[in-house]
Amino acid sequence: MGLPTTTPGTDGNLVIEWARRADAGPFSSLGVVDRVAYPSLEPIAALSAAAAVTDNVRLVTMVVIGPLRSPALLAQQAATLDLLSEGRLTLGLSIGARHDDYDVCGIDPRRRGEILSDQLAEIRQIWEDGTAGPTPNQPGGPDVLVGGSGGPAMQRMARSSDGFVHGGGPPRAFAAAAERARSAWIEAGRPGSPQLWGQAYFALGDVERGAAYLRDYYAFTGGFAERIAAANLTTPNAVLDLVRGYRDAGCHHLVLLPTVSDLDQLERLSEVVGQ
Amino acid sequence: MKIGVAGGGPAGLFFAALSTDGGHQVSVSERNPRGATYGWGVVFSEGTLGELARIDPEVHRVIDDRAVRWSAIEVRVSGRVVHSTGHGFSAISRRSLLEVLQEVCTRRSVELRFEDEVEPTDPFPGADLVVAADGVRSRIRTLHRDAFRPELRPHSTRYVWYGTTLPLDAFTFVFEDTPAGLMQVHAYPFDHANSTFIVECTEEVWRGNGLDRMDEEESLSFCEKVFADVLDGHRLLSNRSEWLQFATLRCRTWHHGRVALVGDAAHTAHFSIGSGTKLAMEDAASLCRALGEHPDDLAAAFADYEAERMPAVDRFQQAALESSRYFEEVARYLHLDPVRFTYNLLTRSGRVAHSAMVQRDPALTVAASRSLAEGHAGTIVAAPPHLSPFTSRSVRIPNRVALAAPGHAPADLEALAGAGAGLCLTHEVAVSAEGRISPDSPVLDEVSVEAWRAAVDAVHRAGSLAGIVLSHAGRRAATRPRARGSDISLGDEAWPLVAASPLAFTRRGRVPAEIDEEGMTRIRQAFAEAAAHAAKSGFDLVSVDLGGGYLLGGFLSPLSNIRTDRYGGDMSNRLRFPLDVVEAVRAGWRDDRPMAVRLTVTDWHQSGISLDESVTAAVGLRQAGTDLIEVAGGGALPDAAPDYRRLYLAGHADRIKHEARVPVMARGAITTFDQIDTLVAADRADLCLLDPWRYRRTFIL
Repeated sequence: MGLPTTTPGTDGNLVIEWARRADAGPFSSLGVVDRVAYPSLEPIAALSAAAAVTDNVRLVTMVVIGPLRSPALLAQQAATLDLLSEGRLTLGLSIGARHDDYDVCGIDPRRRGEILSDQLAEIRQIWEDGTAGPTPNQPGGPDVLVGGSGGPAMQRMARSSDGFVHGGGPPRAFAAAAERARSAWIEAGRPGSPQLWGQAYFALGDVERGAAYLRDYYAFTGGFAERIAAANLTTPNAVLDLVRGYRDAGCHHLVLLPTVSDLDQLERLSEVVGQ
Repeated sequence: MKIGVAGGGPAGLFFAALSTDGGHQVSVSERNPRGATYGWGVVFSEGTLGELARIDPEVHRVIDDRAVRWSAIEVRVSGRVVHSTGHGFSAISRRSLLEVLQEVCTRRSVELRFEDEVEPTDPFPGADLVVAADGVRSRIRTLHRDAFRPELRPHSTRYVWYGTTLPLDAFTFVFEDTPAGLMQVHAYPFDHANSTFIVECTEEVWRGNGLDRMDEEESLSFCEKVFADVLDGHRLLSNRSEWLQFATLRCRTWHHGRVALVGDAAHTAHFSIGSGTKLAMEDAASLCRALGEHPDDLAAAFADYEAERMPAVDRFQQAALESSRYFEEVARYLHLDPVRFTYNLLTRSGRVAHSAMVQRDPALTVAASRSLAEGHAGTIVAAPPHLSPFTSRSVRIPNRVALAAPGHAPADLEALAGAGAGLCLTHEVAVSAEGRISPDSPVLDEVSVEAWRAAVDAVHRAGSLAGIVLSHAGRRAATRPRARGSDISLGDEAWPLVAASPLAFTRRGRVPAEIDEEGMTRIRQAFAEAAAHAAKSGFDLVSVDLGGGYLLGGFLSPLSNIRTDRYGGDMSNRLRFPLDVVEAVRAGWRDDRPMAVRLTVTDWHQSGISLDESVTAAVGLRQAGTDLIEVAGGGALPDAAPDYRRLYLAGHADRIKHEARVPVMARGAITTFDQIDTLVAADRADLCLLDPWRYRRTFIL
């Protein structure tokens, strides 16, 4: 289950209550996304609040835009959240998709891939040697995921993380990306196989509000926003088909992100996936 | 809705004919006069026609009436004709197709205006929707190029589009030698008396034969002479037929404002998979359907149209690219026997795999498989290609599937026993302690021979063979075990590193010492001794690791070798030390058993090793006694731009195999036996390293 941190109408109470109910429901993890130049909650701060009112769910960033943050601060924040949640954090990182997030943070986006590569090594080292922040609850620090489906991103994921987080799409797109992730993993000489995380948007029963949010959130992609809005899961059948499709494509964890800030959405999804 | 369609080709007319169903008011403007057309025939697969029957039964019926159908493909090569059947095509003359569509449009009250070119700045004033079906040189798209962002990539071959009065009954490919090199023909019937006859050759052959200086008539007569055999007295027909260079068009989006692009205005795919008209008509049907589903929302309709069509077109473009690349380089396959040559041609684009060949043409498939089998193989029954044996020196590998151990210890090799692979390969095993990747990496020495021997015996008992990869990690040595990432330095516990040049592997990595002649002698000796240990352990094959950005691979890549002595510079220098080592291993290894080399042929980087250089290296390695090259990619740099699509190194393996004339093992996202069957039967690879994840699924729940 995703936390509604970027959808309009969210307030503090909603986030807390959402987290509490998700923890009691059929969900294994609680995910957040990251945007800066947009009316949205900071993902690690939001998950820290969630940590305080949950006991079971894994807390996952899908993703945090790494290069916008200093590695030391990010390592400290993540270690703090891992402590607060008693070892329930999985930290997904990527370079993000928008230049305005970089502009508003004053970071040059041209080197973002390189920055993220360095950051992945630095964060792991900080967690281990304690140069900044607390010692994380999970030995050696939380699992790290890397997003991005291009070759360089896949290579970065395979060399310096524990798994892959997909950006969304039909099961077939996920399956193709998962195959590339596995290939990158083999090329990097890593033992075992990468964790595979997927995500999709849903709006059960409030189709128009969900679509309006996605059109706005993805306005920067031009015509593509319409396609993302069209792919929003708006019926129980659509949700279940996608869940089955992702499972058969080898997805280990699937996070369904709400597009409407209404607790009713969580209840409806609980009913659908809890069956 | 009021709809204006720019362009009266198949896409524009079919869209117009279909959209009247929605009660729209539609007009089509075509700049040429009625009856003028510059193509010959248009080919469809059976599947495409079936789809057409569903979309528009009336159009299907009239096209069906005038189409010719056949199911054979004939390949004329090296003086032989190979006949393959079961493929299912139909074709119609372009002129007939246009007439049919024009008639249907007229019956459905579409306004058709000929010799009427719309003004791109304001096409169809007052129209709610403008459909730009105005071809690859679309003026509307060009005017709004900032929105559509078209990208035209020219292909390297030249081609000319002729007709002929020769009536064919098969899709016919002809390969003929000319004074300047190979020329080929793609020909197919489009009615019972005429055929399309496309001649293609490389730029070099085109100039070499003087075709660049010939006029229309001279070219035609030249081609008639070259292809006199197949033409059998028939003439070629020209219709302003000029030599062209095909260009693949891609656009970032297919809509802008009230304009939608369809067909060639939006995308092109190389003619050798014959899909231009099919794709154009599918676009028209898709756009029409999307408009019907979103009657009041043009933006939603466009999104729906693109979501449906862009991925489908992209797959065709990818296949067309593979196909066109095949024809650019087809000369390298001429040494194959005609049956294997034909199988290779039929599977060129990646769209027809072995399983489809089995369905379509069992006889040809068995013939291609039979030539692979040794011992028992009949004319009717032959093992599928992946189960055919592969013999190298006196070692007979029982099948074409190789598997890599899941970890680096002898126990991991043993874990592969029983999987059924022909060849089980170890991870990199170091030839000396300093060459280890991590402190726990295995070293092949006097002490470890017994442990490896036990693992090899287990593999043998299960009916498989075992190979060991001998390696020295070079500048990637002395790192932590890779459980949480690769190339993380050991810090204080690290031992000194050596490499071709003093360049750290990562920005945070340690700088290795540049290896000197004495160091090289020591390492060469270590490899030779390891080969002798491998023999004692009972391995059937040794592989020398010239990949992965490790010590020897590091010599090959210009990104990691900046030496100025006789071991740096051009490929023959960069290969010198790795070749010395390969020769030493050959000398230390058993004469009756094969030696392989894992060779990185691309660094996924523009300044990295080129495939031409890798062919040179492969030739040198073959001459030094290498029996098999495992074609690998990447490893020289931590931040490169690899491409991990399906079978991503199979094309590289194919090229090394046929240009360096050495057996190869392909790897890289090979996940099914169907893929292996296709690669092996087409002679693109001899062995394949399978990523077996699909076969590891738990299926009993």
